[in-house]
Amino acid sequence: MRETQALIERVRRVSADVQQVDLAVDPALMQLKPGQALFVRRHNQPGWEPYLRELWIPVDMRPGRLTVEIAGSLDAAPNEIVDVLSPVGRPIPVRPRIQHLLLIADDALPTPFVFLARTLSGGGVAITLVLNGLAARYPLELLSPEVEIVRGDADWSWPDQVATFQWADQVLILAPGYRQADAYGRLLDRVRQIRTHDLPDHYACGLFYDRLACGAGACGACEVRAHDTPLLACSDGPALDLKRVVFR
Amino acid sequence: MIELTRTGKTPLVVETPVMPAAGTFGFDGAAYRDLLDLTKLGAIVTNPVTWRPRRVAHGTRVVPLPAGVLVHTGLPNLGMKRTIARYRARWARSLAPVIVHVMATSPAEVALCAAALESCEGVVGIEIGLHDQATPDDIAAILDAARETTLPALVRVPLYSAVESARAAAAAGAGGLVVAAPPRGTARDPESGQLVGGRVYGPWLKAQALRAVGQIARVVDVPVIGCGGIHSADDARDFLEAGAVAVQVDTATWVQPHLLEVIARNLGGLELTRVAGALPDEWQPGMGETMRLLRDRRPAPNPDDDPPAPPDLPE
Repeated sequence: MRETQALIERVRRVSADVQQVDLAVDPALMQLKPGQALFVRRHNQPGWEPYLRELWIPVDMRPGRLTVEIAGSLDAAPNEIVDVLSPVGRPIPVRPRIQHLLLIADDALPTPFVFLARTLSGGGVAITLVLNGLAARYPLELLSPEVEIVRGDADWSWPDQVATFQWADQVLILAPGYRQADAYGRLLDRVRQIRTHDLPDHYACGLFYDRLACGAGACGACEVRAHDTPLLACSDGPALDLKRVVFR
Repeated sequence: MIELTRTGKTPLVVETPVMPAAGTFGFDGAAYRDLLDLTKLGAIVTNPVTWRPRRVAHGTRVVPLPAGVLVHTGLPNLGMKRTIARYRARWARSLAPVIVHVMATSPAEVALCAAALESCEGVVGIEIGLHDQATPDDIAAILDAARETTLPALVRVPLYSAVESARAAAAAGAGGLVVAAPPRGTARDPESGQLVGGRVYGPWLKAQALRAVGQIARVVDVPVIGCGGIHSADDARDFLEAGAVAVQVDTATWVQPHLLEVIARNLGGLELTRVAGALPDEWQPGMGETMRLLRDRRPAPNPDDDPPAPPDLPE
């Protein structure tokens, strides 16, 4: 992890929930992979409000420019300089020779999936994105056109659910912190019912984008209980193999 | 050199009066190894460790507050034996001396922890974190148990009973006092809508901690380390003026990691100055070497040189 600065070049308000920010960044940040994020603080911020750094998640990368997606409620203005700690987290572990990827956004905006989908769809991976609850409000034009969109309902069901699990080579799920135990545990149960014989490593991964305090693996506030060694969402995640996670 | 504990058989001495507070810097400082120069710190204080393993708290653990944060981790750790097994080698080659924070769960467990740490290379002391409701008798029993080790023992006192706890700890033989542990609070998590209890941190805490340091420094004859709300070198200097011999920086490290090094350099006389044409307050990490190192590099006096003229003696 290192500390750099970035310049906000452009801010686009995409919807009431989402705005996209183009950043001119240090060349070192061009090594970011899907799953890794920036931990940001305003450079000339008067006082200590907000106090903690904000997690900005990349959705696109072009030479010298990184596009991140932030909440619509945050203030960001062109020509503003921000302090950036990065990278936070590890790249999402994509299984080798993957052909079909199932993404599930459960009551959370699918921002962390955008960069991943953009990267993988260029390599010929078929991607299906299930949008449940709040996720359905996400502007679909921000996603790659190759991504197949499926709308779920509040009961956590969607058309051809069993089939989507059967053909998927990997399943990634995203839910807000307060729903993770329920949603991620439910996904693991479904997957185990359908694929009774084999559940390879990283087949079902949950994304743990919790509110971070230090972002560096020092405070333990983002620890996730695991069957073996405890995991830290900020340094071991955000994508954690659900086989290892304890949900009780 | 700064003595963090009373003069005795094994005083705890550091070069720089600045260190991270327990719970903010991990168990070995590795999380911040790439972000600041650990050699500039007086010591590294580990996250709290208990004799038995502790699991992380359920539910929301971080709630933003106006100019601050509430944190409720449950103090997860592997337990003392596994913590030592995992970090012993890293502590031995640590770039700064290590002070292990031991949670005062019970006198018996403190005794076990103290004994287990005795032979750990790189560990120069223990810091005992008192429970908020610890009575003078509890404190005496815990410090009695800490004598299982020859390592010097600091005692971190709760903020809202700081003076009483400090008196009791000093009377029971504490080597030094850390004033104070962050207070507890309750806040509503904006995401889940639930009320969450935990420790509260922020710059506003400084005024309360500073008052406690001033009160305690006047009534006990034990070195005091100030802790609470420090977010600048001036904040740290206020604690020294109030009677502290050193300071611990807490959540400022999370917000601006290099602040810890800036404060350490400032209080340790290690700022880059005229050599590179920068003023002390313009220093940034990675900018260059320090005045102290430059002083150390000056050539030793040549014995063949003419001796200095003797001072004029009175008639």
